[in-house]
Amino acid sequence: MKKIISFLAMFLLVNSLIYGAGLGVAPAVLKFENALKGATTVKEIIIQNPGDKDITASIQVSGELQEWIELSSNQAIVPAKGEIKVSVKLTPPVDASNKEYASKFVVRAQGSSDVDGSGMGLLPGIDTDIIATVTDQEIIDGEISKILTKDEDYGKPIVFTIGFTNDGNVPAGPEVKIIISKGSEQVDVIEKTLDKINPGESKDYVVEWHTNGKEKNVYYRANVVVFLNNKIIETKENVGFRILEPVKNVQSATNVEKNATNFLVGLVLVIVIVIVGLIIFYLITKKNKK
Amino acid sequence: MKKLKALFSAFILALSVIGMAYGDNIDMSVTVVGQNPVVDSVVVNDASPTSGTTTQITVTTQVTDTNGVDDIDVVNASFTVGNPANGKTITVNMRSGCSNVDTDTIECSATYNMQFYDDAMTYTVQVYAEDANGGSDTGTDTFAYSELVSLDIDVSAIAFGSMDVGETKEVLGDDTWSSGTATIKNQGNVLLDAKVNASDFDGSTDSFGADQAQIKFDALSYFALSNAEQTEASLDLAKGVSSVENVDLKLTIPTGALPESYTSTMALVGVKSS
Repeated sequence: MKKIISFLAMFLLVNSLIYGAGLGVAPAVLKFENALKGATTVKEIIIQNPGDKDITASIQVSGELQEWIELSSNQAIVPAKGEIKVSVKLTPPVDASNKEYASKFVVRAQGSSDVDGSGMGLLPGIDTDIIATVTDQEIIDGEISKILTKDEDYGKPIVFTIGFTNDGNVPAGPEVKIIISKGSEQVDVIEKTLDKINPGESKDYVVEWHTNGKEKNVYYRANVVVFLNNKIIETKENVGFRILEPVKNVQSATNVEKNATNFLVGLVLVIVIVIVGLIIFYLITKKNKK
Repeated sequence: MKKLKALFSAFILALSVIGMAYGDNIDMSVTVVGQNPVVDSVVVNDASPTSGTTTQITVTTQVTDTNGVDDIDVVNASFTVGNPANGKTITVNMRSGCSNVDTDTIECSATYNMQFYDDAMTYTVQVYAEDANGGSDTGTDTFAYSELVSLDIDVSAIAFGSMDVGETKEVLGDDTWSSGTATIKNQGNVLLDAKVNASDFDGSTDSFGADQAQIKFDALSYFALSNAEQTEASLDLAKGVSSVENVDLKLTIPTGALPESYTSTMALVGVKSS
C-alpha cells in the first residue's frame, strides 16, 4: 500500500514536470554614457518569455545605482512567447562623483514551485548589467538619419523631413537652413530652429515651404544644412522637387475649346484638299483634251 | 486610265501644295542625358534578438532618378559589415515592391530575419540602385543588434520520489530538449554561465537545509546548493541554433528527517559569461 501511495505521488509529480520555463533580457549591458548629474536619462530593457506559459517576473536593481534608478514596473506578467518593455530612468544626484558606476538588473520568475510530493521546483531568472558614467559636463551631440522631400501639388506645402537623434546628455534640437533655387536663381531661404528632444530620443522633423505664388512645373533644388549648437552636423545638396499642376477630374473648358478648334481646322483642310484636287484634275483633263 | 492617272496626280499635287502652305512644322530632336539614380536614404532601426526565434528587421530606402521612376531597374540590399546566419543578401531586387513617392522618387522596403544567436554588433546595410543605362548609386545605414541573455529550462521541477533517511539519489538531466529530464538551452546570443540558489527543503512539520542537494552542469563537478547565490563560471554555454546542456541534481536525506514530503525551490539564473 505504501508503495502504491508513493507511486501515485510520483505520477502526479512527473506530470507537473513536462513544461519548462525561461527568461530573456536585452540588452545584456545597459549603458548610460555621460549621464549628467541632476538630469534624467530614460532607456529601456526588454524582458522576454520563450516558454509556453505566462510568467510573473519581478524586476529589481541591485548595486550602487539602486537609489538613482526608477523602473516603470517592479513586477509584470511576461506573456508566453512574448515580451514586455520596462523603462529605466536614471537621475544621478548633483553631488555624485564623476566616475563609472555599476549595478545589476535582477529579473526573477515568481510563483510556486509546482511540486507535488518531494522535489525541487525550478524557477528561471536572468541577471544583466547596468553601467553608468556620470559627468557634470553638458554634451550636445546628435546625428541626422535622413533628409527627404518630394514633389507636391501647387497649393500644398513642400515637406522636408529631417530625421534627428539626440546623442548628447541634455535636451537638444537642430537648426536647419534650406536654400531653394530654380536653375541658377535662388528662390527662397528657410531658416528654422526645431524643437528640442531628450537625450537618446529620435524624431522626424517636418519643415514646410509654401508653394502658393511659386512657379509650377519647374525643377527646384534645395541645399539643406543642419546645425547643432552652431556647428554643421549634416549637409545635403541638390535635393530635387517639383511643384505640380494639380490634376483635375473634369476636362477644362479650355481643353474642350481647343479640341473643337482642332476638329474644324482638320475639316477645312480636307475640304481644301478635295477642292484643289478637283481644280487640278479639271485643268489636267482639259489640257489632255486639247 | 488617263483620267485615273490625272486624278491621282492631282491629289498628290494638291497634298503637296497644301503641305507646303501649312508646312510650318520644324523637326526637332534632343538627347536627354541619362542621370544616375541617387539613393536618398537608407533606414534600418536598431533591434534586439528574440529568445529562441527570429527578429525581423526592415530596410527602408528612397531612390531618386531625375529621368523618372520608370528608369530605376534594380534596388537591392545586403550586409556589408556583419555576417548573420541567414546570409548577407537581404533582397536581390525589391524594385517590384516599391511605391512611387513622386514622379522621380520611389520608396522601397525589405525585411530580413535575424537569428537569436546572431552576433551582437553594429551591422552595416548597403542599398544599391541601378537604372536602365547601368548608372548606379549606393547608400548605407548601420543598426545595432543588442546582446540578449536568455536561458530556458525544459522542466519545471525535479522529482526525487520516495527516499530513505541517509539515502542519496541522483536525478540526471540530458542533452535532449523536452525529453522530460532537465536540460538548459541558451536562447540568446551571449556566452552563458549559470547562477543558482535554493530554499531549504520544507515539509509540513520538519525541514532540512538546501545544502543537502547538489547540482552540476554538463560534465562539471557537483557543488552543494545554498540559500545564497553561487555561480558556475565554467559553464560557458555557447550561443547557437540549439546549444543545450544537461543539469544533474543529487539529494541526500539527512539523518533525523521526519517521514513526510519535502519541497524546495531553486532559482536557475542565466548570466553573461565574463
